[in-house]
Amino acid sequence: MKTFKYPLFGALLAIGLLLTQCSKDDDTPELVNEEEVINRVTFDVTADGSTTTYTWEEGATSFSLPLKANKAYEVAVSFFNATDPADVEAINPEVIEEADEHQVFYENSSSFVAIASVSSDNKDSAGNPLGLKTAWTTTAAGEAVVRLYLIHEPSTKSGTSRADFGGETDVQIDINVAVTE
Amino acid sequence: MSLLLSNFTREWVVFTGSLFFLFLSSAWGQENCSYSFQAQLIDLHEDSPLVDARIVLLGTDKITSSTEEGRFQIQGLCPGTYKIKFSHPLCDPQTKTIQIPQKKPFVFHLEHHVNTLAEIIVSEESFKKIRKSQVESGLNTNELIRQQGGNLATALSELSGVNKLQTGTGLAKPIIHGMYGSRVGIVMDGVRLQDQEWGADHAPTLDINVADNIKIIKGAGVLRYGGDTPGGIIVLQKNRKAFQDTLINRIGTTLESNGRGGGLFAKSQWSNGLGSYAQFNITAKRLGDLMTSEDVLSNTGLVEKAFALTWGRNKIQSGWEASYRFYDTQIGILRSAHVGNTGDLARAIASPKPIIIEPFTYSLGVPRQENQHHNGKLSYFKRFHEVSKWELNYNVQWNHRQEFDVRRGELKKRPAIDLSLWTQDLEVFLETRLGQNYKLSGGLSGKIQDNFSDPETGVKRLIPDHNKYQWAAFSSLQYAPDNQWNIDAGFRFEGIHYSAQKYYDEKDWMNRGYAVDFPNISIVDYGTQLLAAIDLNFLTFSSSLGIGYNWTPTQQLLFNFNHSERTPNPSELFSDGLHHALATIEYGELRLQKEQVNKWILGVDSQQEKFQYAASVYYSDLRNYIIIEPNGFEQTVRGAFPVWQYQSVMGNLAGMDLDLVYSPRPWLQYKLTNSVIRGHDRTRDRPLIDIPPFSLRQQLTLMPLQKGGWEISLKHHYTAQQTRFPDNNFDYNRLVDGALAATSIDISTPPKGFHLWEVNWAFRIQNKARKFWDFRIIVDNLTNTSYRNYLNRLRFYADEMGRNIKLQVNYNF
Repeated sequence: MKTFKYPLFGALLAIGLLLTQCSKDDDTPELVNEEEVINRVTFDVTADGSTTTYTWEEGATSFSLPLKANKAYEVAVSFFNATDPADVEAINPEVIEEADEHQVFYENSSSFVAIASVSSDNKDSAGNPLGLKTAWTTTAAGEAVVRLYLIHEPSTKSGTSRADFGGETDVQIDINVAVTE
Repeated sequence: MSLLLSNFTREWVVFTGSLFFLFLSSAWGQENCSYSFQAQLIDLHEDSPLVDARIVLLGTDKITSSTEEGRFQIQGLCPGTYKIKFSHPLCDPQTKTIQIPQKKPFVFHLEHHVNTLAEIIVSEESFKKIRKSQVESGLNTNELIRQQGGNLATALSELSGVNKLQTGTGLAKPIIHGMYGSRVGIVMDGVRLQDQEWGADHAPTLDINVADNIKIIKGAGVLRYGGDTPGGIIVLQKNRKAFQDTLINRIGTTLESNGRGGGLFAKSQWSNGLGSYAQFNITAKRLGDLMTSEDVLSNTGLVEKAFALTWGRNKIQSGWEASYRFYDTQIGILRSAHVGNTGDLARAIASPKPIIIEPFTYSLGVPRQENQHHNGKLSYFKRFHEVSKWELNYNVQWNHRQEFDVRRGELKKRPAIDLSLWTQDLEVFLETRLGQNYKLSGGLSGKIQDNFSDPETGVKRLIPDHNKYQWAAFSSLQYAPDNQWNIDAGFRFEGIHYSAQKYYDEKDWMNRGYAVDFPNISIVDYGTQLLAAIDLNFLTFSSSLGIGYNWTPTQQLLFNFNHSERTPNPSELFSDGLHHALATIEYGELRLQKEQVNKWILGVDSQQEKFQYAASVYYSDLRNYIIIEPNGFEQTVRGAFPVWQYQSVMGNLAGMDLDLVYSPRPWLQYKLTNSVIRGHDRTRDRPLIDIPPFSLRQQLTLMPLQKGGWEISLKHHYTAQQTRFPDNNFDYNRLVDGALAATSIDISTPPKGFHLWEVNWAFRIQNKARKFWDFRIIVDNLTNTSYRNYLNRLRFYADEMGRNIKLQVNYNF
């Protein structure tokens, strides 16, 4: 019995000590800045050669986009990770690079704003417009909610409702579109 | 002291011996030849039942053998004195005298010595650990062979009062009496498993094929392993090793049609006459995508690898054991269950089929979990003064868990959660008999846990880096004055210290009032985030009382009271993050106090030859019971998310379990298990969430498998719809004609009840005691029924598994 008892305890103690030494008690955990978060969305609205930028920041509950009636606009949407204010990361290049896995879609059921694709928009490998740039045409005054989606891994790239696209929603923002005369 | 005790023991042997003969001579005679004799055979050293002993009543043609519980019964006896002969593969035959009619329950203790293997001590001994004072249920080796290739929760859900909480099909954890996770302990080889059991989307990281039997202890007797498990403790055990040259091997395979895969299992147990032993296990399993009754469940495959090695020597007076177990799994999680926001969830709930259905594949995509668990143990025991024993146990565990999510770009290959948990545990345990009626045991243990959350994930930590220090002192006293009564009582003190370093969003820290309530927590400001060094202390006191009363040799009445206190787990205290399966944001709560549960169980147990039943009722009073419930919304870039917050409530749980087996003929057996449970949240006067609905299992077996031959059985399993549930529905704004319109999203209503059928055909060829071929064909969900299960967290996305045909072959040699 003696032959076993002491080596066993020795081994036990050694392991115990070793592991206590490895423990990371005093290390300060590294700060994690979320890398794939989108928490800022900007709309560059161009009409008659001049561009106005509207910004949505995470936490905002409402977002308004004032437009004039009977006018044509080009709307370019951009996504950012602004977790670290000193290093704001643009997400659009990633969306364009993985064009097949992304789609921007505006859910719009108003009668006085029409949203259509434009030829300058980025396209995926099958030639489908990504929706980062769109043409908005207003026909009358009124107020409506237009919902912006950035869809990840959509099952199809065309549709008229959110359900048609499948996939997951990475961004969903309600835009209060106020069209005035 | 030693002299006193050994003298005492000797006197006691003489004393009980004379009592025994007194009892024999005073036996009451009658000329009615319909008496029966029942007894149980127990190994004295291990207190474990002696299985497959051969019992011959000399001078008659009556022969029987002992069951898994070591029990046997001989019927049709006339009054008188008989000689009874026991033999066991490990012992020489021994003969004892018995008297009919039998007045008291008998327990025969057999002792194996290294030198004299065949020594048998037969006494009407009063001290038996096996003589229970607590409600127990379990699975034996044969039942486990049938479950080969399955997981722990599925195997146990055969038992009454046990259900499983699932996240899809691959991840399942047991629910006992309505409790799961940290409220249910899992003990393997005397060591509590430490594997981040606090999350719901988690499965115990162990291979059940290592175990030879599994027991659930719902009442007392768990205090050695923890005072924080009001649900109960699941104990996985290996068979006792024989003191003789033995080599038992088993290789087996299970092939499954659903998932188009299967597993290979091998096991080898070796021992010699000097008490040395070794055991080796290996498991490899692979399944592809599973199927509902109609569709492929995309990304539900599974890869599992496990390996275990035990080596030890038992020299009766002392012994040691070293063991190492490794377990590795990769489990796919239904692709359709990963949703970006509540709108996606609403669409998934509205869709009758999974949103993403792809062709069958074996490859695992995202989301998926990868878990590794290493478990090493060293133990040593020594007996002294003939009646006492001390043990020293050291255990180290490393659990590594990674969750891979649907991500963009460079992050695709990186896990979103990467947690490592180190645990070290040292225990000193002492056990002694005080006279013939008392057994006292107790011990001290210390545990250190270190959890590390890898920042490389690029995602906020779900569980922060923390250390947990734990010490415990426990003791229990068993009192068995005679063969009719058994009483035990015990307590456990535990001190727990958490030392965590966690980043909080600055806004969050203020909004939740932590700045006011925890002024002493030191804070380092990093701009939008702050690092809090959190130290929390808890002291718990748990206790139990159990009383068992045998009113006849085969019938028992059991009562249990448990007071358990549980420290909030890291998930309840600290969790912080988005849950992609339910589109919720989950928050822990630093202010949580220890949870207290008082539980009463009353049970009755009857083991007659043809009719066996066990029934129990229980009531639990819950104080500071920690649950997670919806608490408002948070506006994010993905829309408004429901916030779920851990909080404590007052409540109660009550229920009833029933198990019965009726064998009217040797070739026919009917089994029924049934459980009912009610959970109520008194704080808000509404039902508790995730309480198992009423369920009933019936099984009809023709030719129950004995040594050889065939068996066929038909099982029916009915699960009712849960009608008592809390309303956690919330509103989602749809766009209708350019305006927002709120619609309610129903995440509360449980799915409808269902009936499932299973057929099981088994065939066994046995030529020697331990050499046999075992073939089985099992058809699960025979009718290919489509159903959804309330206790599956992914029930919104897909049906449960459809028909599964399993082919099992096992060779024991």
